[in-house]
Amino acid sequence: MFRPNPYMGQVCLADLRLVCLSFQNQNKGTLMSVDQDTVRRIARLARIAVRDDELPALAGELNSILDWVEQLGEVDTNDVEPMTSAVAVTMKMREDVITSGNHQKDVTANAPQSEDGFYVVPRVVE
Amino acid sequence: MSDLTKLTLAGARDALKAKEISSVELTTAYIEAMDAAKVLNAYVLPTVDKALEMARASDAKLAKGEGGALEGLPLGVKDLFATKGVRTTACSHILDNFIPPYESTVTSNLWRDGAVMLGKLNNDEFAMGSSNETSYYGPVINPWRRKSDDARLVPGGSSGGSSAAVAAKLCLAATATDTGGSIRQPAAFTGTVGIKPTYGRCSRWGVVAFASSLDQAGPITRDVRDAAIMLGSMAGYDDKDSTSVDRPVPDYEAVLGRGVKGLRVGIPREYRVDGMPAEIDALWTRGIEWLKAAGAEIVDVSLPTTKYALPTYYIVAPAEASSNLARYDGVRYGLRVEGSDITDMYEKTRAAGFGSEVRRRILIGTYVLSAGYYDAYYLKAQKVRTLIARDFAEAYKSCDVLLTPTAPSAAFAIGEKSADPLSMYLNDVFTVTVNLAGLPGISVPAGLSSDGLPLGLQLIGRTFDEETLLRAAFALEEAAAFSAEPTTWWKA
Repeated sequence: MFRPNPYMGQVCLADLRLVCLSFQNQNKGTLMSVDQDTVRRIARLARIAVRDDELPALAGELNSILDWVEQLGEVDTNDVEPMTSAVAVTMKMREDVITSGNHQKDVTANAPQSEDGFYVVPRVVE
Repeated sequence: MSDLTKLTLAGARDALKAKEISSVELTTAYIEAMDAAKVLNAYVLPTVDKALEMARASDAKLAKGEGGALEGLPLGVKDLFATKGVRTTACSHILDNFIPPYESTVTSNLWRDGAVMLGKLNNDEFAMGSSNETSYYGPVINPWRRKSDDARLVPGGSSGGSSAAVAAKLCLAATATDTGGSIRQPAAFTGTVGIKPTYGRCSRWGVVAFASSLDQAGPITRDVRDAAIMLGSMAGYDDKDSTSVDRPVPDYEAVLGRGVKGLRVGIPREYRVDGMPAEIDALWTRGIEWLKAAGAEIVDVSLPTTKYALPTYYIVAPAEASSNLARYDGVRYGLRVEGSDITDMYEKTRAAGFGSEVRRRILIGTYVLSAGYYDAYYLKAQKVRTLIARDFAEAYKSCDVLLTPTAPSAAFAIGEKSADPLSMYLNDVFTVTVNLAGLPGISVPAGLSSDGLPLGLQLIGRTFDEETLLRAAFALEEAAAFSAEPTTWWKA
């Protein structure tokens, strides 16, 4: 299962989860080297177009980085809790009230294309 | 006064208060210096009109005996900080022409205290890099040169514009950010001071996000006193960043002269890494002697998980980056490349907008977070991170600060390491541990390499104990008496 990372302020692109699930069936969690098909799939997940002629070099780079981080396998982390906060502090609660709003113009001011305060995107539903 | 840019931040502040100089005079001197140093490529957007307007407003306040802690002092701002109405791009093509309708909290604090903005400073694209070579606006040139040749050197990264601008006297001080060493390593490469405060000490609101559990803002300055002044203004609780910490900001400048008598300085034995240049090792030994002579007690400590810090970082940081950078979709802001449908538009926009290092990290991050790999990589890394933080907690039972080198080498030449991502990543070997554990760290210039380049020593403090850290840094600075400056070859 894809789990959102606890620190992020932004979730991944909308349909990441579906692609992840189909990906999971082929790789049952074993660490293995990344082939060109895998690079193509990751790039698809990340929504970055990659040309076929770029795949071999990218696979090489990703493999050398992944081989290098593999050494973490040597560390005994049984009974170790994963870090969830860099500094031990209690998250502050605030009143559940509206503190800001009515900034439609500001929010869309930097959009590559907008109309009447809405973002304009290519047609999604036929 | 002949050259106003020679004043430190504290010196300029005092001269302004005493009405010996005006902010407009000071600001004009910097605008001229910036103009003469375009070849360094430190600024990606000078804001001359805004600077003069802010300087005039400061002069009016100073004339009435009013003004904040930084009134009339001209600063540079890393292009990672959103500045209202002033283009902010994180030096990425994908944020072309992004004009924030809001101001980051850190820069708001600086303007609240009266500082003057000279312009936006270059950095590695989205702060991903250790040499400022990944910027869409091109590399920054280090003002320092080797004795032996005229090769163009990197100013470190990712805050390379900030470090070069402070070293070349193109601003009094600069804002910067540090995710794995991006304040401290560039400071070491340019003979400047850089402090990364405790995670949560400065608000991250309005700072373009790279890896949110590691990112922290801090200043790059000419000396330790200036760093204390800048941090005092930048720090503070912000209800717009739930990870900023609600505790008072001490008067950092007030603690500087208190000395290190009786202070316990830990020397982590695992930082004596294989292949470390002899002159870095010798500098470290000199640093130990200096602090001992100043009355500190030297303690041997062990941080056994150090070896695994870099691989941990290169899982955690790309993972968080891949999710943070998902927002660049060609819809809400920045670049859009049209496509046959919406997915094609996303993919073409992101392919055109991200540079190769950013793309590499997004792909790694996407891979390690993907189903079936999450536990093996990301969860494992977060567990090792717990062990790294535990190492420090254990070490601080027997010492108050740690002393280490800042970087494993002096500044290298442009192009020297850019072909090999792994050798570039090794630059952060002494600095990433500090981000992973959320601790404060500072780099102080401590000597010159045999080739005449600045080298830095790093002090690491306890969580939220920037006061002890700065006090130790001030003592180290006094003992090192680093006074070398780069020749101003770029003015010729």
